[in-house]
Amino acid sequence: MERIRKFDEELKNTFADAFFIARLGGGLLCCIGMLMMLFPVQMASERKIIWSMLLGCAICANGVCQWMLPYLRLREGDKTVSIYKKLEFMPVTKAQIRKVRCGYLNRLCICLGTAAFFMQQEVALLNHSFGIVSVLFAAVWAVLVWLAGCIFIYVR
Amino acid sequence: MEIEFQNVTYRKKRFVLQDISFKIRQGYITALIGKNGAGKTTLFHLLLDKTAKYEGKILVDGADWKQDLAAHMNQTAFVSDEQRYFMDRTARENASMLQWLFEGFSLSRFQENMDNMNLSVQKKLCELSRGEYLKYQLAFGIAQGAKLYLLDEATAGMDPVFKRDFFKMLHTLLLDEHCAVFMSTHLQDEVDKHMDYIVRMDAGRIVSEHAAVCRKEIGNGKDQKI
Repeated sequence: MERIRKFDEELKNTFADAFFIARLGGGLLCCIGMLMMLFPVQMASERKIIWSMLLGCAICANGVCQWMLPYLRLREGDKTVSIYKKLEFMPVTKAQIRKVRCGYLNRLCICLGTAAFFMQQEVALLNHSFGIVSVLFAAVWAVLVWLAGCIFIYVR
Repeated sequence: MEIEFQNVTYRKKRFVLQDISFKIRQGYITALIGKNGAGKTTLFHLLLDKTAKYEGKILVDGADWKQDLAAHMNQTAFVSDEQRYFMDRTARENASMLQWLFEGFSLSRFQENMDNMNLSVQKKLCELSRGEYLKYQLAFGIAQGAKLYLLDEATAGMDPVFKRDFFKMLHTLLLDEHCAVFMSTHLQDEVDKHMDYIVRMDAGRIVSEHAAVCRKEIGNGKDQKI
């Protein structure tokens, strides 16, 4: 696993532009998606803006996928190529590569989930609607984003 | 490293490699010859594909090939036309990235090999000619400390001078590194001149396996009988 992480470090240096664009795009999408966490979930159900909050979750999931993309596919000339394919005949397995990628995803989702959780609890407190629903909503939101990232890693 | 196929049967889509039995001997070049579609590339992929399911046994120095696959892959270099490297990055960048995946990869040795082959490490792989790309792969394999070289029609289209140098390198490798070379080819003159053992394939089966009559030219330029 350590060997794959070192490879990834070098991959980031070599494809610095691709990683920069992915992080910029992914970061922006995550920020936009996170803005929806500034609505307390109880208020959302009353004012029927729950769909906007789910849309925020989808945008954030898209941001996570954008962030992870250069670990999975890279542009080569006018087409994109799978990193798995490039490493197919190297002494590492697809499962090992995926496991390392999932490690990066977990780290990212823990950061996003923690931020989303605190944002949601803070606005819920200010709105005097703090309760199990706001706690659960933030947790489910983080799990959904993580799931989307996992599916992306396995599909790409 | 000595590889032995024992009654290996492998199905890939509609194509079947059937009852494959032969040896790749350490210190020698084993040629795999056969028509297009005979199953040569499939045979290489069988060795390289970590998820390949086959019947029979593939033994490496008496042990099962799949048993310690990562270690065996670490000692296997595949030289072919396939674009398995990051083509729009330089040779050095590729080596810097991929070195971490191989135990005992030496960057300095890679640089030295590239210099010996008159190749620039600053050149993008997509800018290399076919022959240069093959040489690059060979330099990479030497730097990774490969003990098994799989060459899939590596010499097709090479000019005679380039080819002579290429075989010189292979023979030097055989002498110095105690490795085995397994290469597929269509070219009869190449088989006559350079190969030690010949495995002939047709329609997914091994038709014959025998030693070549003589090897005319080795690394030091002297004739030698085998």
